[in-house]
This record gives sequence, C-alpha cells and structure tokens, in this order.
Amino acid sequence: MTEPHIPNVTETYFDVAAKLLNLAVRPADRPAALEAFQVLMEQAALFLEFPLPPGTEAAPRFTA
Amino acid sequence: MICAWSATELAAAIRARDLSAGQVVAAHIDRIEAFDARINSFTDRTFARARAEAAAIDRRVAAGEDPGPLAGVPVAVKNLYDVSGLPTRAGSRIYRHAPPAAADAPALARLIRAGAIMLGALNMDEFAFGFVTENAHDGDTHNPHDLARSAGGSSGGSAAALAAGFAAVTLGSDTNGSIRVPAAFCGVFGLKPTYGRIDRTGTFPFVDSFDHLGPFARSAADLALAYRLLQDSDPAVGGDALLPARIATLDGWFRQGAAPEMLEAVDTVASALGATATVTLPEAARARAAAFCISAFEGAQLHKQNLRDRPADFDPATRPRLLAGALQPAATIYAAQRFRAWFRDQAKALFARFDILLAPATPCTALHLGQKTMVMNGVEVPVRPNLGVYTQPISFIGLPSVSVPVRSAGLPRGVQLIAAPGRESLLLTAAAKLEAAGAVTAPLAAL
Repeated sequence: MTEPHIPNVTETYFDVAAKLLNLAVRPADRPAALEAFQVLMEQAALFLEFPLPPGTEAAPRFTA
Repeated sequence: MICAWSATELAAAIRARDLSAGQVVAAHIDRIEAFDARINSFTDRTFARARAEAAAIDRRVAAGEDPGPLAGVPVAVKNLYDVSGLPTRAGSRIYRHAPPAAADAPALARLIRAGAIMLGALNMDEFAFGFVTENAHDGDTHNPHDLARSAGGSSGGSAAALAAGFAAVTLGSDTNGSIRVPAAFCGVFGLKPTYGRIDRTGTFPFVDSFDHLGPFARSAADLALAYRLLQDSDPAVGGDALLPARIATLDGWFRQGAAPEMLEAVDTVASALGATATVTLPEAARARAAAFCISAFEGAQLHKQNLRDRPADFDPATRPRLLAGALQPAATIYAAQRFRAWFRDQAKALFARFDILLAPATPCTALHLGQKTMVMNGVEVPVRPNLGVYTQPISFIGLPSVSVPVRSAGLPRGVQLIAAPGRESLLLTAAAKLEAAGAVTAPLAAL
C-alpha cells in the first residue's frame, strides 16, 4: 500500500503562498516550481542566519 | 577578410576611403546569410536599414564629412534593446507581437550617432533569466568555436555573433553574469560596467537591482571605444598612467569548483600582469546566494500577471523559476538586501589594498548544448544555476568587470578583471596590456 503524501513545511508554505498571491501553479508545473523554490530556500539559509552588525541597513545611506 | 577586422580598423579604413561602408555591410550580410543558420545568433535581421545607413555613411564620407569613430562599423544588439521598428521581445513569445519600438534604445542610438550600422537583434535566454541561450521560442544559439556547445547566456547571441564575424561590436546586458559568461564561452571581450553607468532606458528589464548594459568586442581597443561612446560620465582615458596597478587573484570561493584549465587561465593573466598576491573576498558564497534569491524575486515581480493569465506562453525552463521566485518570503529578500550592503563594504575594504582583482568568469569552458549537470568540487550540480557562481557576487554589488579571452589551444576561457566602482578605464587598460602581451586574444571562429 502506498503511504499518503504528507506535505512538509516548505510544500505547505509554497501552496499557501501561491494561493495568497493568486498564482495558480498548474499541476504540471508544481514539481519543477517546488524544486526551484527549495533551491532558493537552501540558498537563503546561507545568509538568513549570518550575523550582520546591528547597523547594517538595506536602504542606501547618503553621506556628505 | 573584412569580417575579421576590428571595429577600429574598419572605421579607419572607411574614413580614409580605403573601404566603403557599403562593402563592409555587404560582406557582413553575406557572412550572416551563409553561416547563421548554423549559429542561430540573430532573431531579427535589419538588413534594409543597414544598407540605407551604409549608403548614408558613404555619402557623408564622399562629402568630406567625418561620420564618427564607428563609421560604417556593423553592430547588433541583444533583443531586449528597443530597435526602431521591431517589437522588443526579450527572448519571449509573450512580447514578440508587441507594438514595434518607436525609437532605438539610447545606448544603441549612441553607437548609431557615432556612425555604426545596425544589422539586427540577437538571441538570448527568455527574459535574460539564464546562462545558456537555449530558448524554447527562438532555438538554441550555438558556440561558433564548437557548434555542439553552448554560447553561454543570457547574451549568447551577442557573443556568438561577434565570435562568428557577423558584427564588429555587439551589445548585451548583464544581471548576474550575462555578458561575462557568454564572452568567456565564445572567446571575446565583454565589459559589465559599474552599476548605473550606462543608461538602461529602452531596454527590457530583468532585475532592477542588478541590471547592467555593456558591450562585447574582439579587441580591447574596440571594447574601450564602445564603452566611451555608450556613456558620458567616464572619458575612460588615462588608464595607462594607472598601471602598474596593485593586482591580486581572488582565492576561496573563486577557486573552489573551477576546472584546472580555468585556474590555469587565471594564473596566465596574473603572470602577464605581474600579480603575485592572493586575497579573499569574504563570504562570496553567501553573496552569490543573496544575488540568486533577489534575482528570482525581482524578476518574478515583472511577470506575475502573465504568470496568472498566460503561463503556457513562457519558456518551460523559465516559468517554474519565476513562480518560485515570486513565492519567496519577504524576510528572505530583506535579509539579502541587508547582506548586500555589508558585502559591499567588504569589497570596498579590499579595494583600499588592491586595484584589480582576478577570478575565473566561469567554472568551466563551454558546455554541450542541452547539458543539464556538471561536476564542481567532485559533486554533480545543475548547470543553469551554477554557471554564474563567480560572476554573481561581483554584479551583486555593481563592480565593473571585464571578461578577457585567454589564449587557448582548446575551447575559449574567460577571466574576470574586477575593479572598484568607476574604475573601468583601469580594467580596459589592463585588458589592452594583456592583449599586447599575447596573453589574451579573440580570434574569429573557423566556420
């Protein structure tokens, strides 16, 4: 008997976010899109937890 | 053979009346018609326009006028540039029937005002989201040095057309390496200038944070000439006085995973420039990762409505990556932009000690068309996200970089010369010095 597929947290987020953004991911596209999303999350892990100094700002700073 | 001449040589001969612009354009059109069926670099040919522009140049020369430093020089542009009378398709099916552009993009218009002749628009990865120029709508662009191999991307048509002798100067765009990767694969010079240096008006965007325009050429002199004409803020002269510069080879991330022949190419350039130091650009792997995430996110924002309304019209290689990019959490993109600011400061500190940094342009020489994986550090990895591993950290913070073609008995190899923002003239001078020393060269491919 085949075990039922239990979505992991990434899959769950992927599907919910697609609904929230009204991006209907066609069933045929879902495996490749989900794989690409997982690659993005793996890459993001490299910098998300990197300890940046507190004053590091995303916005440009203008100095005289 | 006229098609092997550099832009500088062609313009000089036309201005001296040794050649006519009509002869030059006819030779290039003949070559495109004879050989581009094998290369597939052009998506649109503007030959009627080219003949009319050549006739106008010849009339001006006959009247004693100087048509400019690119007098009669054939050029072509990636098909994300507006070209008067053509839809700006950006490699897509979706925009190929868009209303034709009313005018040339300002960057192209600058070359035309300097006397250049417009031959057509060139193939690319859909929406510039790729490194291979394998396009589901317009077909694959083949590497002129080995037709079974990729020209690189996303400006693959721009590099291939130049290596094939179809034009003397071409224009492309570089967001994560899309000038430097194809320049390396096709064995030509490519310049990604400082972020913001060249006006992007009239070009189809990919990632606003990282998009750059720039030229390809078969000589360092032509690359410098095209760069000078493409912008006003940097005269790009006086670089000679800046050499010898403080030059170092980047280690760490920029040597991990590179094929031995690529490291040998970097060492060749280092030796020719007298560079003995090595230095680390800290956390380049994280920089590459942040660039990767921002690119997918920003790129997707442009296309969200079309992803909803007409998903089937996207290239199957593009659509899943855009969907994935659109779904990233905002916290990821915010963190990536914060990291970008920090990483820029690390590079700035390095440039207090060095003027030019050296790194491979790609981890390997040109791969086979259709190749899905390659080996880096002994691990099989997908091709598409990994061809830009050494270029992405550089464009992430807008640094100028020239990819120079290192002399090779086999496939071309590209090495990046990287400088602090605004120091293009130093890079162009170093490229010229390498060319004069015989370390780098961009011969026409044998077709």
